[in-house]
Amino acid sequence: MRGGLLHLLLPVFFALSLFLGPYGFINPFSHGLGAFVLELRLLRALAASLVGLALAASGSGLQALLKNPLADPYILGVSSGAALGVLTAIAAGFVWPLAVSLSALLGGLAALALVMAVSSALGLTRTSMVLVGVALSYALSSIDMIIMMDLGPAVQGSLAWLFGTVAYALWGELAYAAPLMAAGAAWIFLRAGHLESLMLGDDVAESMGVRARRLRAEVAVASALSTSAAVAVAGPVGFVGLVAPWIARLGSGGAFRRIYPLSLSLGASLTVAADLASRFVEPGGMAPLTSITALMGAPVLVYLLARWRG
Amino acid sequence: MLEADSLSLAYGGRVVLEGLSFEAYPGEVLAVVGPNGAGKTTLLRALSGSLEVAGGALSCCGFSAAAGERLGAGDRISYAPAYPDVDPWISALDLVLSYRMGPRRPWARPSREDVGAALESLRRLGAAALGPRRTSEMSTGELKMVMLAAALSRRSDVLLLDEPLAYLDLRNQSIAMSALRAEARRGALVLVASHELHLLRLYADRVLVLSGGRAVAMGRVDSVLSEDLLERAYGVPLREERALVPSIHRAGGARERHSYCNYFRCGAPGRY
Repeated sequence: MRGGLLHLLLPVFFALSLFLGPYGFINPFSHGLGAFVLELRLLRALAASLVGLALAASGSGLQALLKNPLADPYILGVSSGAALGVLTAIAAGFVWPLAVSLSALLGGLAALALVMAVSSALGLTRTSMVLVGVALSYALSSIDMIIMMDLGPAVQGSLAWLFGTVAYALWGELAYAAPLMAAGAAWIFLRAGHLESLMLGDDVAESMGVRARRLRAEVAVASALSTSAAVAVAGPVGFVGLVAPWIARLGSGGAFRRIYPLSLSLGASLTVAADLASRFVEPGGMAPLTSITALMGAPVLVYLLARWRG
Repeated sequence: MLEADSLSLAYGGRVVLEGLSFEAYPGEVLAVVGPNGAGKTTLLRALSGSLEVAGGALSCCGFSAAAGERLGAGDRISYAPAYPDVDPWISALDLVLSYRMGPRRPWARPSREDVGAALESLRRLGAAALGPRRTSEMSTGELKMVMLAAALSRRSDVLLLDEPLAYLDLRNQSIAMSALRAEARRGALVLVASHELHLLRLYADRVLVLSGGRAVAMGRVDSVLSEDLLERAYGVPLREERALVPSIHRAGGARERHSYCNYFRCGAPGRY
């Protein structure tokens, strides 16, 4: 039950996120400014938890379907694809939350489909597929930058968003994105039993009645769904989808049904913690989330690689 | 029990097996032998339900499949592939449990009975100590033993084992052979694809020889595995020798002995 205690991180970080800011402890229940601060911070903490949960769901799903522990929506280019969708929509003048969420989904799906199509056309293994994702991710990020520079006065906000932040989250945005994130995560959860059979090998899973191709397609769509919704809210945030499932695995025997809930809660805790840290790194509270998650995630990743040595 | 009627199988758009008819019965160990690419794995995959029947008919345990269909016999059939392509993170115990429980509802937890059966299956194959170890930390032989334990844990009516003794050391070969004999005694049909002809003489009852996409022979191991027939099937000169091979553990008497058995070698002198 080592892993069980890790669930407690979420309420701890969530509470800290409500009370702590760059100017020290603020009691959000006090009169005057309190209610205003509470609403802002509650929105931030909620957005960060949901984004983290969605990214961890997507990362777990992609790692299970590719049987590759290095798979992650950020590395595979899904996040950059979703970001491209959002920027294209904004550049074209479609700025309503629903349009933004949908174009993020289209972009994320297209990126993942492209990675899978290219890998299968080249006959690549599931390990090298990640490298195709890395290449696509770089290419898409460059296009993201180019489009963004054309946005004119909106550049400042877009830039912060492109490096990942929940500081600009709006209740209206969250109202559209939250159901999409939850749907993606729930969809993967419903396929947990099948994904666990897939861990025994495609042939064995097929002999148990699992249709491996269909399952992979389904989980890929669900992963793209939750990632895209997360990107629509917070921009492309890296490392959470990679590190959360890894930490979850350390405490368990590796069965998907045990990893999954823990990695969702860890993903949420990590992102809330990263948002909290961002308020102190740069007092305006605008330090990019990805820079924090990467700072926290990179050493964790190296430590895990050293422990695993697979 | 298991019946193939003019069965044809294709893999990757190429017809691998054609016009294959045979029957197999509960309580026997049926070996499938033949040169590389003869269609042994393809046959096992079709029986496992992971490959469509291309022509003819296949039936087993009350299920049947015609052309274009898959044989879906659920947990009545358990399959262990030659090269386990498993998740690197999963532990041996979780692997066996996942196998035993099959694709299930996400909230279903393993019952006390499931855990007991999984542990017992690992113990039976002398792999209990591997329980908490991740598959990436095992040797290929150890992983094969764990996969065999997984397939046995469901106590299915039919066991389809692709190269179950490959990669195993002498002791594990002996343990695995004994377990397969025990499964047959329990009333299961055990189908084994193998190249270890000398060991098949010890633990298989009948043998099906595939070559060139067809069944070349089928019958009792002793009568079918003759020098003459194997030379034709494999296309190499053979000579018969006597070799040291691991013995099968007999029920009750757990003493381990090695026994001599006839065994075929490529005949061209000076090659070894």
